[in-house]
Amino acid sequence: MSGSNVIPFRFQSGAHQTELSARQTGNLEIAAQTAVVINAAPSREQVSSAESIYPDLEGSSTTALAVALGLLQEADQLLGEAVSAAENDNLIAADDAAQRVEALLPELFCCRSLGDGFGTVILSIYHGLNNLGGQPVSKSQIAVMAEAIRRLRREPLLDYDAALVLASKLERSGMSVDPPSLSIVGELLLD
Amino acid sequence: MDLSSFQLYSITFEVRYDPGFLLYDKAGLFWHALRQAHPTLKLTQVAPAKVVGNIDDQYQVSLELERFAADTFNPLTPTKIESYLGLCGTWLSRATDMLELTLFSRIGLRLIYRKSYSNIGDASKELLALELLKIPTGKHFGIEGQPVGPVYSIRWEDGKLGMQVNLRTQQRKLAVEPPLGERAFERIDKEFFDFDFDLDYYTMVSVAVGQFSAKDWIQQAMRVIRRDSGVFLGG
Repeated sequence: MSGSNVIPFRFQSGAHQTELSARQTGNLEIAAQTAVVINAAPSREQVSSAESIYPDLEGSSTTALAVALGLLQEADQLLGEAVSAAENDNLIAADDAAQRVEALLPELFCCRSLGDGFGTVILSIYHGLNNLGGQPVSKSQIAVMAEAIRRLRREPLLDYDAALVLASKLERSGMSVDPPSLSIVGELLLD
Repeated sequence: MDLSSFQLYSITFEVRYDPGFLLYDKAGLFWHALRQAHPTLKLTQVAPAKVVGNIDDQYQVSLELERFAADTFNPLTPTKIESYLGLCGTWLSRATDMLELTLFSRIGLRLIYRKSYSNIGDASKELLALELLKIPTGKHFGIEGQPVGPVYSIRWEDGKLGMQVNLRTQQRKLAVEPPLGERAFERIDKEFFDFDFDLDYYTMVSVAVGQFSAKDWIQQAMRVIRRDSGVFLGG
């Protein structure tokens, strides 16, 4: 290559750039080698809520997705109230809001056809609240539940691995997210 | 005129994403699985960054480095559309998992409705009768005649969703020449005159994989198109 001049040609096409290199050896000659430079970074703003990308959620109110998004919006709002109440040390109001969220969970579970991730998060919250055995939910538990519901509202078709991360967070907040029958099976196996 | 006087001619669902380089390692797995599910699959185009296959001559699936697409064509019965929705949902999901995609940069649905005429003049008159275009009357450019081949195109965008509407008339020619000496069939020469109502519905923002249900999105987009098409067609 020594002694030859490299002339770069750059063509812009959408988000992609194609770069050709040419060697000038007396007559201009396009080199056989072409390098394709592709921008790997996402070039567009990311949408924040799932609702805004669906053209007609109201017109499809019976589908699992529309039902789930409606219920998640309600649960998100209730957990927002619970977080505010807990921050003001009004744990009775916070627990009341959490119980109203609990009442939405069976219907949300009916939308589990959306995916394993969705079902896992809903079941984890359901068992987490049930396994408290009447004890009021703590501030940190409300915060983690609110985070999980918000995430589902944003990504109702969340993948299973991401759902497991949320279930682990619920567990770390002191909630037991497994069904009570599972602990009996566990004990039997240990015996 | 309303949408019922047109025939739904083709549907194209397309998802674009940042380069899915795992395509170079796993493309065979995708096409192997698709052929197991649809034994009539025939590949029509094969290149490292793009493979296209036809299923039953009814559906076309394309998997590329930066794009997944599925098409279906006339005749489009409700059963066929339902199968197509299933195909889009299932195989987009497989491609997404395989390429380990997290974001879709653009999602689009293109529907072409078509109405056929015996000549281009009738098709043009029908489009012009919608009064979407303002056409000067009289002699222009030294030509006194009827305007033919009108095209109307407009886009709506709200920052998240967009829609491009095209109304056009066109003349298509089909010519099939038998090989020299072949007597089994005659040369085919056909001309078609169409009025196309062509709609492209698309997202303008990146969408997380976990936000997107292909079946729901396509069904809703199709419903919105059917509901609001009267604005253009005067129905």
